Amino acid sequence: MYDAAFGLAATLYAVSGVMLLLQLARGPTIAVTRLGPWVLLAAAAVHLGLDVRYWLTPGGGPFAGIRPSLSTLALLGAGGYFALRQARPRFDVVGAFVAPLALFMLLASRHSNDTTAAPLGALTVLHVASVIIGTGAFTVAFAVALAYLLQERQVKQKRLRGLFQRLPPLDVLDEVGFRFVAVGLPVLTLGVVTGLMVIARTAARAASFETWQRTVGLAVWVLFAGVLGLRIVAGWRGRRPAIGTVLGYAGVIAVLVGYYLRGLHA
Amino acid sequence: MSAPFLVVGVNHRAAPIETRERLAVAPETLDAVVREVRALPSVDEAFVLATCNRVEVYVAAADQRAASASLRGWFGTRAPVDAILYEHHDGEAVRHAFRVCASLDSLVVGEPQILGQVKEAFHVARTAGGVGGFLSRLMGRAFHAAKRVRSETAIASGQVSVASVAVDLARGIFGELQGRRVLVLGAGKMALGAARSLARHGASLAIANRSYERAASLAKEHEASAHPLTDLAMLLQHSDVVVCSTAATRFVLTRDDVASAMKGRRGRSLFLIDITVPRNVDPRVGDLDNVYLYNVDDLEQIVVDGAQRREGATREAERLLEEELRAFEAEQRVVEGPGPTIAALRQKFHATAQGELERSFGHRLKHLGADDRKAVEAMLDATLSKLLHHPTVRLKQGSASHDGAVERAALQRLFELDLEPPSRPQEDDDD
Repeated sequence: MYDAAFGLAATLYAVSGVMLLLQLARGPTIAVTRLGPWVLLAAAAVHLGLDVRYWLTPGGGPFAGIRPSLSTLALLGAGGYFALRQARPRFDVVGAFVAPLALFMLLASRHSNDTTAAPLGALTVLHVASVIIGTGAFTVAFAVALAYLLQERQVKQKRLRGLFQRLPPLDVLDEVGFRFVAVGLPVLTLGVVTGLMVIARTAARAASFETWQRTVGLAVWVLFAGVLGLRIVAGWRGRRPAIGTVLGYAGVIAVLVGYYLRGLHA
Repeated sequence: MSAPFLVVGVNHRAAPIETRERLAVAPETLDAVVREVRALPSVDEAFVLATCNRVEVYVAAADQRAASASLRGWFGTRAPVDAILYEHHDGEAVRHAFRVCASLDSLVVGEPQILGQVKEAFHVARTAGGVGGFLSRLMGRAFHAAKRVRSETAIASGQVSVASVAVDLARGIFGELQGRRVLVLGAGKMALGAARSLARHGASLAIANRSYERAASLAKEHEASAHPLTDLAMLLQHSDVVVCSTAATRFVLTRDDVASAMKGRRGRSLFLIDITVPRNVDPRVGDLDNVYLYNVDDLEQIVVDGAQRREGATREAERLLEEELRAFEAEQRVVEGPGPTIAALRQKFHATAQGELERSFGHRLKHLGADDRKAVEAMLDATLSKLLHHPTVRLKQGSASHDGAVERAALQRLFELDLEPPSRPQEDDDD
């Protein structure tokens, strides 16, 4: 039953990703691609069903380990996307970047209900939850930043057909990306602070393996703080913050991949 | 058709903006340029059309080969364009003139500005003495045809003008235009048209001009604020869209100007539309972050979309132009046939004789009685008829031949005959 539902969710994410990518690349010439957001919604619904079932098991929860957290992150990304497309027109195609990420995270969370890890302490759960929720906001910010960079290239290179018509206006993308970073950063900050507290408590057990992750994690925080701070202080807008967001998100994914791989080999 | 007509020129398709800049003709010098072209060897009539996208010379010339050489030489003195110059002769030249007026040859097919620009150029040429009977007939019919195309087809629907393109681009950058600020530099009609379209979507307007009085007058007309050009640095900081259309022959906005303004704008996007040739905005401005610069050539990208949508209307417009071309050819055949020349020749001779008779009857022959006067008149009429008999027969015999055309042209020039077509359409001045 789990395998079938998991397979269905993964298939729906993959199909929605293809549909949304086609819609982004070709426009509504293939009518069925307009269903992309709804297929993504169906994928998220099946996925949520799987996760809720797991959350209700003893020791389960949305942040009960790296793999359940990745699953939750996928749901947060999909949820953020839907909230965005409800609030703003022309944001459907941003799903073309969200769906593959959600699929990737779902696949990485495979068998998250098989975890045998010891229950996490409250502080650790708060740390993981903050990091994952912040990263959920950054997932949408990342998708929006990619859309911004594509649209900016279209306008700069005077390619006013196709993508230009399908992507949202530049200033709207810039503003929305900023808002998601502004939401994600304080939550991530809480995750960093709680993470430092967890490290302080378990310093003796900290492996050298984690050092680079902490370094990258802090670098990511500094990067996002820079994106946000420079905008507020110096009016940093447009291409450079978008690149900062993309790089920051790549750092977040690197850290998560590190934890994931450590979990596999623990 | 054997219209003695020739068009030589360059346009946006083959000539890059730098070349068109070198060929550009300032409005205040257009009459002098027309006189210069009219004075070239073998050029009988001429008018010059110089817009952002084309510089063309329309010439009536019996000896087209010689006229072509003259015009190529003239273009060559302004820029090395011999390789990209195009020529249209006779019927093809007439078709080209019709297509230009009807905006079928424009960068943005169906755009409304070109007809006004051609009319203005034609008016200048007429005032400067460059235009005679042929060009008057031709352009009258071309204006009439262009008006029919606009009113009877959907050629002007959708994105056909710089104005609508500007709105689309601005919305692609800013989203909603409510509350955005648009600055117009200069007083060009196209720029004001674009700015008005942006204002219709909620943007507010400011107009800056070298002459503050002119800016104030335009601002009153367009519900905008007026500024002298000395306010430019401040205006750049507060505007979202800048439409440049000054008559300046150098950059009005340099890279440093805009880079400096962007610091004060705290990174807010700036959309610059430079619709002038020579350009008003340093092209390197487009390299700056959050600055989006479009010049007239850049609009070509948008033409493709609009042209596809209007493909059906374009076909209908071409069909309508063919109708008008046939009407012009028929009209031209009448004018080029022997009838109008013979009638004009006889009318000229008789009018001259009648004038002389009346003068003589009032002075040296005033002693003549009524019968004698009638006898003198009859004798003069008979003399004129005999004198004109041979030329009339000759003209009728040669009506369809090349020699006949040459003879008609010679007579028309020698006796300064003014040939009117049977029903020449009036030039439309209501666009």
